[in-house]
Amino acid sequence: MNLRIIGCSHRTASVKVREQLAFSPNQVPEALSQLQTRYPGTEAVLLSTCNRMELYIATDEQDHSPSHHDVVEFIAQFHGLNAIDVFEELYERTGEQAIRHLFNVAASLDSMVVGEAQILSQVKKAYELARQGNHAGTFMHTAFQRAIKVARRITSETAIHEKHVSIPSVAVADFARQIFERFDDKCVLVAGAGEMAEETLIYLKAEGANDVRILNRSLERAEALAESHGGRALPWEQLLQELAHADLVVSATSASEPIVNRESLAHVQQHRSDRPIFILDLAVPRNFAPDAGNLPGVYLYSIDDLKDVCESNRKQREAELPKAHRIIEDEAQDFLADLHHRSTGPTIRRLRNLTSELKQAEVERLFNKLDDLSDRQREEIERAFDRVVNKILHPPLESLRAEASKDTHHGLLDALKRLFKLQ
Amino acid sequence: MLWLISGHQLTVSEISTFCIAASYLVALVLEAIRPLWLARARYFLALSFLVAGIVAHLLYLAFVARGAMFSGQGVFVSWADWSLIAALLLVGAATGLMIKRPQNTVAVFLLPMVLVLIGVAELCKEMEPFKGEAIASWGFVHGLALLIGTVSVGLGFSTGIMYLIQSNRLKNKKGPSSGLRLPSLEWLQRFNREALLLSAILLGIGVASGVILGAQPGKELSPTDPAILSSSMMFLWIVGACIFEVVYQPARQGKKVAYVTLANFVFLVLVLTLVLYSGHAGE
Repeated sequence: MNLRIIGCSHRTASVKVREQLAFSPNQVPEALSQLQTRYPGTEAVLLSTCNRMELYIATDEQDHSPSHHDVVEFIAQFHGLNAIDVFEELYERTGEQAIRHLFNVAASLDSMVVGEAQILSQVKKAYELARQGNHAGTFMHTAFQRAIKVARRITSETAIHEKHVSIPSVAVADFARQIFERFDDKCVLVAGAGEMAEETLIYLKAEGANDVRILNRSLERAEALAESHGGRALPWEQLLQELAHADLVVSATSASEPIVNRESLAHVQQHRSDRPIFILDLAVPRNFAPDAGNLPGVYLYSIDDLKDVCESNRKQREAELPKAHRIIEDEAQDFLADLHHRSTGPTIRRLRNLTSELKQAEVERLFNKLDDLSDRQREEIERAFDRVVNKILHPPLESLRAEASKDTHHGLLDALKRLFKLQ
Repeated sequence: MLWLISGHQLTVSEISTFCIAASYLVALVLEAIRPLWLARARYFLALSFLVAGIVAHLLYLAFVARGAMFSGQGVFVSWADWSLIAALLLVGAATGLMIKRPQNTVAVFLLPMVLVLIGVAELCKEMEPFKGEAIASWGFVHGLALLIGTVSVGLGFSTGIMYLIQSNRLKNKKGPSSGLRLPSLEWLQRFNREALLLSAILLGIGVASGVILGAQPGKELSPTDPAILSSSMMFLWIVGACIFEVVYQPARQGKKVAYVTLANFVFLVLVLTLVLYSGHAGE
């Protein structure tokens, strides 16, 4: 079985190229169907995310496999591009290298943020789409199911997925969770309606936040954010009033000066009876005066405070990489040995059938000549023949298995076929 | 643990407070080395030692009770038994929290108190058991309420310490470390308040039953008895703290409750020392 991957990722291609070569979820079944029509007998899985586009192709025989050039041309044609323009952007991985690459991708070791959990579900989805359209055959099933198993093994045996590395995820998971036990009974105030505010809001919603109030100088933008993620848009003038209600504040406005100073927050805290307030100041320049964080019950974090934790978490993830790579190597070796054993299976089966037929013919000839044998004697003779055949076949088959585990069995397999005239 | 597994007939001499304390100490060490050994095996090993210690602890108390019944004495009527029961309640709470919140380092703050109580039990082993009314019905209520109240103050103390550490870490912008993962401030504050209220109620019952005991005919307990004086002051202090907390809302928030529970604990240690040395329980 020949596996080939043609694709591009955040490591090799710019966003512009990745956008040009990306397949939308609706395009994937269509592309796989077209590929199989063009190259019958080809198994294919198409993985397309914002950070990578990879086409996994497997064929029974090397000769029937579409070449690197064929696949690039197919991809380019599908997107209405010139193959020459994108040829250099698309890498190729084959054989063992391709298996290792698939395992690395599924385990998120090749991701832009190493250890991010999303890629595994994207790999599963790509495989599922191929399976539903009958584009994935026995080999793809084996390879992708193994890749998913390897990814799960890495998740359970290393701490690579444990630490959060993006600012909003660190803010919510590493800090807010240390202050609050739950979020469904908390009042969340979002000041600003930009990308950072939105991303943090997504994490808070995922943690169960229900009571979300969004304030922005442009009420329309606050309303749009409230509409898309759930929440209430309020006029900017109510900021201090809303601060008195809030348990958790996400502030990411583009104000050039602090919007809340120590005095106004102290006043707000008096109204709150010193109830703890968690403030995530994700704006640059900062929205809250730094000395406001010294007030009792105020837990104020700026983007720099969170960055340090992100960096430290990233380093901790990287420290787990050697362990994850060792698992990948073990699993790849095991998978390949299994694969090579399987490739010798048909020849071994044919050889066993041949020797069995020969043995049976000779046994019958002998029994015809010696017609006064008892059943027990016949049984003993048949067993003796079986033993001779097995003893003759044992050394060559053992050698074949040993060579197969190192993927150096092709010569021996060929010799066996020629020596025994196996078809 | 080995003698628990082997299943041979146990005698009280084979289970000593040393065995019990050793099991808890190993569990404490295993919890304390969490930063160095993060594997789940460490957690299960620590839990196993705690459970083994609890089984030994229960067996030990059962043997003590059986011995007391045979000799015609009341059951659990000495300072040593009282300390061992308080230690058992605390270790039960530590184990429950460890199971409920496996991601948090809680046992490290509770087990030292358990070991201290076992140490107190060992020191008080030779002291005279409680007598007369101390072991009769009101005396039993008096002792039990003060016992559970003490455990409650102890729990409040440890969550108070955890609150102050966690609050200090967060004020200093420190992220969660794999080694010391404390519960959230919200949980600690709630637990702290509940411990404070429970201790107020139980100490109230303890003081009230003590007054009833003192009012019984032929009983002449002096109001200037340092044990009575200090425990009454402690009760008034806790009631005052609770009233202040209910009336003045900022007192309910954050560090203030934690400081109150720490003060309660200091008070409690003082009261227990006075009770122990005044011979109050023996009367």
